[in-house]
Amino acid sequence: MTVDYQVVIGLEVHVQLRTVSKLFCGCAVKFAAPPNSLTCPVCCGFPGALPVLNEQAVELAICAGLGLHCEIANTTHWDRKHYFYPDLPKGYQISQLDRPLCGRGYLEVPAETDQSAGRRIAIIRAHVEEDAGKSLHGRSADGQPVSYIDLNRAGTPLFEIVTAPDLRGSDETRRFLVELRLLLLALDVSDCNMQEGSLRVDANVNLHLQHAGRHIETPIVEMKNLNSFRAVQRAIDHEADRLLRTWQAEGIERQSGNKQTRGWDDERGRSYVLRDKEELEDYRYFPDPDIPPLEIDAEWVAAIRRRLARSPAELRRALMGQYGLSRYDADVLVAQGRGAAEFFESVVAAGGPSKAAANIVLGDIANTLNEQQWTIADYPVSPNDVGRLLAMVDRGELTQALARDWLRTMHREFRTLDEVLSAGAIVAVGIEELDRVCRQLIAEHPQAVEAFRQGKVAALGPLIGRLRRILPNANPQAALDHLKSLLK
Amino acid sequence: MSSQSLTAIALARSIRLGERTASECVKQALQAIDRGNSQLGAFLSVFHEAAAAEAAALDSLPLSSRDKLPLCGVPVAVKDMFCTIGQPTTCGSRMMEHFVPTYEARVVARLRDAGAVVVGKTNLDEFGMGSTGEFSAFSPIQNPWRTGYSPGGSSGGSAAAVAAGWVPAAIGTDTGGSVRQPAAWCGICGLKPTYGSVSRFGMVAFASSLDQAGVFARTARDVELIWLAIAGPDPSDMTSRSGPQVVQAIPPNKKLRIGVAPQIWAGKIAADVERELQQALIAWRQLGHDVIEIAFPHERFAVAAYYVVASCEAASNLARYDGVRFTPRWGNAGDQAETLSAMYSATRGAGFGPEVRRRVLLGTYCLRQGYAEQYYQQACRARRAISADYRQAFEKVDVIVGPTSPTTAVELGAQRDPVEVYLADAFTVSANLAGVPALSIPVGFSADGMPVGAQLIGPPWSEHRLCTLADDYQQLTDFHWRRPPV
Amino acid sequence: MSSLEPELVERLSKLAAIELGVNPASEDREQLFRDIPRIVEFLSILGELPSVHLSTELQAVDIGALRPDVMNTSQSPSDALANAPLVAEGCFVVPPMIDS
Ligand SMILES: [Mg+2]
Ligand SMILES: [Zn+2]
Repeated sequence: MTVDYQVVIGLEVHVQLRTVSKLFCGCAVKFAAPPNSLTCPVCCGFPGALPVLNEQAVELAICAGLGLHCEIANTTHWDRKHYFYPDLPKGYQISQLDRPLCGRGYLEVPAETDQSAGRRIAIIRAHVEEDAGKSLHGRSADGQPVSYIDLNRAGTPLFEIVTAPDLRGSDETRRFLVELRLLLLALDVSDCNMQEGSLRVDANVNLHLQHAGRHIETPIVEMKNLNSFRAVQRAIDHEADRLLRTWQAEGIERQSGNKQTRGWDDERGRSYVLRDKEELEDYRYFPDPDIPPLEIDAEWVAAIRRRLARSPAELRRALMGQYGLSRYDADVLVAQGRGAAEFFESVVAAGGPSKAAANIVLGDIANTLNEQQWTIADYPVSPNDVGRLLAMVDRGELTQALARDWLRTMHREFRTLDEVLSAGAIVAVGIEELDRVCRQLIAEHPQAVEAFRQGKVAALGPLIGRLRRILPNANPQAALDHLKSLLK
Repeated sequence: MSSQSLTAIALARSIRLGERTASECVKQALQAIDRGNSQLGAFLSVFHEAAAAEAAALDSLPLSSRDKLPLCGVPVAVKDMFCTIGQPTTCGSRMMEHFVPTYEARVVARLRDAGAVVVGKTNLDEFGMGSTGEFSAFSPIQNPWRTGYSPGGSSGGSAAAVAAGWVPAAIGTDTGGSVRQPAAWCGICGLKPTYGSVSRFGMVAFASSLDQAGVFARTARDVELIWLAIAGPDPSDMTSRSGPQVVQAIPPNKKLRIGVAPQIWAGKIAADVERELQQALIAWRQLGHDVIEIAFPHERFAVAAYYVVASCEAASNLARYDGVRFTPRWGNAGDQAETLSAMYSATRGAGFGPEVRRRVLLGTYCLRQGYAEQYYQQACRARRAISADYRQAFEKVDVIVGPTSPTTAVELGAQRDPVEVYLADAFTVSANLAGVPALSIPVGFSADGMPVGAQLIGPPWSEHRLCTLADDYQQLTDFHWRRPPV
Repeated sequence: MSSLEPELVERLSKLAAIELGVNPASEDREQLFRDIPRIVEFLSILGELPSVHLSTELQAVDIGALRPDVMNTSQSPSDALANAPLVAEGCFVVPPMIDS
């Protein structure tokens, strides 16, 4: 029997907001620290400790909400969601129930080809809440099964995005998630690192079928623990199959109370029951009396909106329209992230023809970044120099091969184009100037500094690269020496 | 003159001037506690060494640097609901019997910053729930005025310690009257300040939107001084606020409008309480103040609204006591819990006493799915209506005066119906619901010699006005200086 | 006086995670569950309050009340674990959270 059906998906996506400190306390947000070393009375839920809301978390969430075209609430508040679990220190999670920070919005899934149109997927709401701790399972000294609780993650700010059941099929769902991730990266609100759990996906899946002239909806399955886009796609395909077979065998339709919660075992390609019938959950929500309702100043939102980075969709449009790139090149460039696209635009602004600029950014430069494990921000050659170089090639002053050679020299030796052109003549930079920029870089790159202090001298490389973009004439060795002396 | 018959203000002044030492004052307080505590049960822990060391440190300060210490060397008792670094903080509960915080309540830190010496932690009804002191998991508390009688609650230990003359001042917490009612029953002053004026950081939460640290002392002037020392916004408490930048001093002989709402208490208070209250009103009239009748249309909802809000918030705040991080763990197999659910339910079943269990279950009842609108939301509306009643009243009057408690101290150990007990909070809960300050002061004695208190309620941030009006009265009377026959 | 139905007793006890009748200092479960309906009956006065035009919101704050995103020193793991009933390897130890 062949059945005509659609796989219908709604997502709940939790992304970790990129803050320095937790949502309600000053503890650091960091992955893989010794257990319980990033905790305080607040995030451990000790008696008498009180939450104090992190302004940056709200700002990042507003930023993400604007990127998703959501309405931003005038007044929002936080609620307590009660349940007992050892990784939930207070016996309740601070979340948002009826007045989420972000209301209705949408995200467009880009079309697969130039010809087809993109699809708008409605966002029902998005809110800010705290994460729970982590648990590890093992055996005690006397062999009993036990769980170990580490509260380092407890209180980390999360942004929960709830979509309407607008997605159709696993492929569109994956493409939605890819676009969402690009958007959140472009807005710089989250690192979206799935391995570290900064982006987690739950999917509600069911089938809509046409059978005997009737529209039928199967029961909904909520899939948990989907920790890669591949897992999302595979889990949805697997569930769609299972739902179809179950429906063919049992003919049960969706009704309230027959939603099932399942986990996904990606290794075995199997799902398993987490909670069978929809147990009557009772979270006893009420507004958290420790956190007064927050009035969101329209001026604040307007300021965030003015600073909002271009979305991948806007960027794609610009690359294809303004720069005449192909759909393919635009997609690849957007997929490299905001930094790469901005680098590309600066190369063009400095005189590089756009096709050549796309080729070099996606080719030689991308390869270098890959080899060196750098991000585009670490790349030591300025886009201005790259643009000038490409312009020289374009004017026939330089062969393609020589230009690539020079580029290699420039990034390896931290040289500017002018230095290469004048064969190494270096103009001195004042020590005050050098000192000011070094201090600025140290303040801006705590991770590199930390890595250097732990013995990774190479970690200062990217800092020198950036210094040379600010002070193109600085002597790299002198700059390196000065940086080291400041870090002693 | 023994340091124990001085006000906190006088004591601090004489220590600042070098007329007496903090060490001798603290030593006298500790000796008095050691002598009397087995009888009264007012203290759960006494900081002999730490208090002596702090006093010695104050004594070693040059006189010139003591000027900034308004409470220099004043021994103070603190309800065992405030976290003290390295010192047990039990909340009067088995659940917290062994808890030693690694952080300090802001109130305690501010007391120390002002030069006060915390001599110990006082006994209380478990987690502040109760109004007789009998729900302490550790020992009953006696009223210094008569053995076998309650000092009131939940801050009964703090009230008893001041009434007994061991310390000139003490700190309590007031969620629905837990400072004012024991102050009334023990014959001293007790202030529940404006909500948000004192940081709640490190004060163990009972009902977050109602809880406020309060002050016990003999005189209203002492109460105000100590409130000023502990008040102030705190970046660790989002509900803390700063008051008006300038507090208008009340000029001497300023006529105030005193509001009374006799329809609220008529027929509901003991004759002794009514008589002494009327006497006090006469005294204020004689001082030139006007007494005006006011209406309070939503007062009848106050106790129900209070018990819903307080129980819902308590059920939530007390969810963290779970046998995982800072409480003992009880279990189903000896002391071992074999399953998670056994760990939770056995720990919480065994660790909480009867009143806490009753309130947590009541809060759960009111918040459960499908019922929050009927109870919690409706109580919040009643709360708004009561706040509006106060706002309207304070357009007509400067202060509202009434009884603090319907009766004088009750006998310990009597069986009481829970609703009757809750209704006895009728006069105190509305100030917590509206977040306004309220001060109970001693205004006389019953025929059988037990203290009677009257309550002064003002608009937000009117602590100075309340204390001034009370001080005028205390200049004419000596009820606050009468000593119980301990 | 009515008492609560056994199912509701079970449900409240489960939701609040309080096992009834284990604390010897406490009243027995029957007493407790006679009190709750008595109190609830008393609370029913709230139904007489007109519910229109009265919001339930608390006093709001603006951005000024929020905390800047700066790191404060965390406590040491030993502080976190100092009061815990059972610890191992820097963690709180609890009965198994998953079926083995
Ligand atoms: Mg969530
Ligand atoms: Zn923390």
